[in-house]
Amino acid sequence: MELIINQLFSGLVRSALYFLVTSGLTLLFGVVGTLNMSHFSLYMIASYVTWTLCNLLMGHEVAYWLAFFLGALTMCVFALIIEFLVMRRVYERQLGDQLLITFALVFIFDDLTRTIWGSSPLFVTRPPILAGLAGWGNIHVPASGIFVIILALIAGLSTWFVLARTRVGRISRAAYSHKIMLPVLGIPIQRVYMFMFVLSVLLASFAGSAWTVLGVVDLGQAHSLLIECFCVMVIGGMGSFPGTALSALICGLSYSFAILIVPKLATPFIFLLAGIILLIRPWGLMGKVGRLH
Amino acid sequence: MTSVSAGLLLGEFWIGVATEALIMTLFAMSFSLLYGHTGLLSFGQAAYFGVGAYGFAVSLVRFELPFLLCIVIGIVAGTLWSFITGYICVRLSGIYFAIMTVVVSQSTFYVLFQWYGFTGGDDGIQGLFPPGILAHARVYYYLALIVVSAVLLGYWKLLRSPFGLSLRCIRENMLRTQFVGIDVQRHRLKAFVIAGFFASIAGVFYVPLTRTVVPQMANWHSSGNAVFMGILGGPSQFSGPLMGAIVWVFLDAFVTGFTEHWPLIIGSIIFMTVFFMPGGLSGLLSASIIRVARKKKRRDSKIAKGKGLNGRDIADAEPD
Repeated sequence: MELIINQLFSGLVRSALYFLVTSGLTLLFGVVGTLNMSHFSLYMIASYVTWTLCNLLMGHEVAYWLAFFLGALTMCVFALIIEFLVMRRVYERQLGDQLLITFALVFIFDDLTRTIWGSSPLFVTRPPILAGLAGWGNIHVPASGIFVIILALIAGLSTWFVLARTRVGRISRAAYSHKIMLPVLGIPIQRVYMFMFVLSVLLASFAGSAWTVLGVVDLGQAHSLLIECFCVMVIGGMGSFPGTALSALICGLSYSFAILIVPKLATPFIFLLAGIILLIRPWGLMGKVGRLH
Repeated sequence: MTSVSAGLLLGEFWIGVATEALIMTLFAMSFSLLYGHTGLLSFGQAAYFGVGAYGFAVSLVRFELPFLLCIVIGIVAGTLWSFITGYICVRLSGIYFAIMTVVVSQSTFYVLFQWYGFTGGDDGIQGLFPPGILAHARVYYYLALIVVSAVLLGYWKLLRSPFGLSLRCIRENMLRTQFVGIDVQRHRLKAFVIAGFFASIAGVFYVPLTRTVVPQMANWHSSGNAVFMGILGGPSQFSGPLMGAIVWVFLDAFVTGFTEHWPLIIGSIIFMTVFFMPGGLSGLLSASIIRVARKKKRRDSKIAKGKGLNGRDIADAEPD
């Protein structure tokens, strides 16, 4: 029983991480139509930035939380710079060009990260509140895991709120379904795109900062997550925000239970799911039916 | 002609570089066939490169089969894998196809990595020497030259054939091509398998050059090399893959000696190419050939009208 609860918990943590990393990518694709292959590199950079800020603020009472907040801010500024320099010219281009340019960015970001922070893995000291185990009765779970789950819930619900109840959100949803009409109605679509890009990077930076308390900050962290997150996105429906949430939940839990049954097949299991979805229902679980782009 | 004499003239190091350029041309061709001629952007060609390489390596080392048979096994393994994965991939288009190819590449890497018993996992397989005379770099260069030339000839014929034309139609407008009556799915699958075939040959012949295989040969980053070579060379032209491969091998040989910012340079070059040189190097070349041809035509037509090259009538020219 304990084992099941533990696995359930670690599955939820994994789902939370998948969701945080993938939701930004999905939003950007859905509203703007660009698949940003460098999204995972941005997630990695966010972890490194958090590490640097944690080091700078070492000794402060709330070092980690400040680093979290300031890191998110830094990443937003970075996103604005990238948007101005690169992404702006990418939106109207063909799919192939978009993928190639963002792919080139992966290389550039990887090298940038290695130059600034070196190739050794880095560790962030957890704040005391997240360091131990929380427990009820017989069950003990790592507090950092609880943090990530709560973070994912807050991020998800806030983003949902922005999308569903605010004017910007309504415009973004309109851009998802009726892109051509927006400029006709006089809505500055470039600003919507800019907002979406910054939002996607913000979500990635939450994920990056969250990762620093879960594991090691490393050059390879994006690559290990990349393939699973692509699968999450495909299963949920590319461009669908609730789809990503659902699919993150499914994938995270499947992984942690597959580990119990057949350890070596746990990761390929997600690939298998993605493959099946692509064969029978390519627009994903919650994507628009029949819409393949 | 140049390549044959180069084989005789170049020193030991450069022979290796030239051989690598030849083999990588095949890898680049596998990407270019799909992207430049069929419109399918594949980030997963390294999967077939890796499977071809491993098929060769495992049969050579583990089963100790004759060299030629190992080559065949490697190529068959890679091509078969491209058929199986291609069957799923070609049903998708655009972005889904691209993502699926990334999934395939990384999954292949993962399987090669995890299957320690069969593939040696992260250690890779070492000690893969070609037998007898082929162990000499110069001889291997000529072998690679023969193989690559044969494949290039096949590629040329393919592009000039009705099949090649159909692929270009599919690239331009898939819906219209379907209306004309062409079975788009079968064509795409065939193109995918042929591309996988090219990539496997590249993988198989790459192994005796580097004498080792590692699972990383099949991952996403390795596919990125094919993407780089294809895009830089110009994916829609016949000479594109060769030019891209030469540049990549040259950079690989030199740049790593000067700086460790290899990814930065690769990324920047892809970046610049997409923005400023969409046709790639071969596109630039053909554009300048066209420009020279146009200038010549203008010159010729001026002379035909009785005007000298500086605009004055020839009849009015003063005798010097």
